[in-house]
Amino acid sequence: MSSPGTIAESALSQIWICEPCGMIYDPVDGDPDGGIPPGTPFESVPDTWMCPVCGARKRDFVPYEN
Amino acid sequence: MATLLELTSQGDVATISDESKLANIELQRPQQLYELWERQPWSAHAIDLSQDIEDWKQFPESEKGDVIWGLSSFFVGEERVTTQFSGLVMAYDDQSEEAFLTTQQVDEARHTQFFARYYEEVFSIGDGIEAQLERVRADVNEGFLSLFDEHLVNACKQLVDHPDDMEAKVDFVTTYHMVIEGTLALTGQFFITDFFENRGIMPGFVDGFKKISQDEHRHVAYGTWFLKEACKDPALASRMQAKLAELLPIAATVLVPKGADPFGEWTLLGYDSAKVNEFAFTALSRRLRVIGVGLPEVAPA
Repeated sequence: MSSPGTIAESALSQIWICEPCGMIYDPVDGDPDGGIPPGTPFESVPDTWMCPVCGARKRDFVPYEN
Repeated sequence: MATLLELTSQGDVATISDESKLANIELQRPQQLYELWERQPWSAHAIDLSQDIEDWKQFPESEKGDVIWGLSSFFVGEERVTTQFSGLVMAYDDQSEEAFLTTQQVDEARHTQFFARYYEEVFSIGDGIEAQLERVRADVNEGFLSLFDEHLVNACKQLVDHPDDMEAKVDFVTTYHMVIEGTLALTGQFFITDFFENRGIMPGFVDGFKKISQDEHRHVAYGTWFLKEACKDPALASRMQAKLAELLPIAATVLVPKGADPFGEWTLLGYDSAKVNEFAFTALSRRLRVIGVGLPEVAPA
């Protein structure tokens, strides 16, 4: 069974990619200019947030498996 | 209350920090964007509009005018950008860029087809695309006509006449990808989609408009990449800022519903002008940070 610490680490290690343009969201970096502090898992990003490159919405991002 | 022009003249949003990493974002190149296009196909004539036809019959008459106005701006705009894109296609720098640019022109034609079909099947405004466009042009305002019929047309003509002119290319991409698509279209798409989704109506339009938005995001991504590369040259960066300073006062009026005071408060489909303008400004200013160019100096209204 996963511990809460493992779940939190997983959320911070999972990066997301904007499907329309390829911009990467890394939870470690967050998006300070967009009001998202470093260390913010993508799941905690507000639904109103948008990609700074192309304007796509949060729901247009998908988990990125490099 | 701040208009788009006033927000721009005030400068960067408070949240943008000196530690911004926006300028370090790795952007997709045209070859990657072309391959992305191949993975995101859709058909304007395959979307089911049957529920939309029923929903429109039940739509409040008092709100139909606002919806028609908003969609008319997109319908006319899509035709304009389809027609006025050939100059940029001819101004390609390599085969990958040419491939991507041809897909963008196809996308815009597809968007025009979607709106033509929607106007005919849902709004019962038909008689062919030319007749439809002539009719809906009566709905757009003076700022729209200035931006799409004068500035965009002139920018295209410059590129057609001088496809190797980098300044002309910067002017065009700034006009098209940054102002028209990246500021105005993205703003309209966000609020119109939000409006219909919140009401749970017009699912066919929402489906098609989301696919249009996906295409537009890909286009804006190209524009961001091109301008980031071009603006490594300080002279071209200044050129881009000058073009923005020229166009933003006009673009600020395009968002204003017909008949409303461009310097006053207004509401469209329940969204107030402050919210709409702030969205547009944020979309533009954050992208400029990615490109590495500051906001232009514009005189407040």
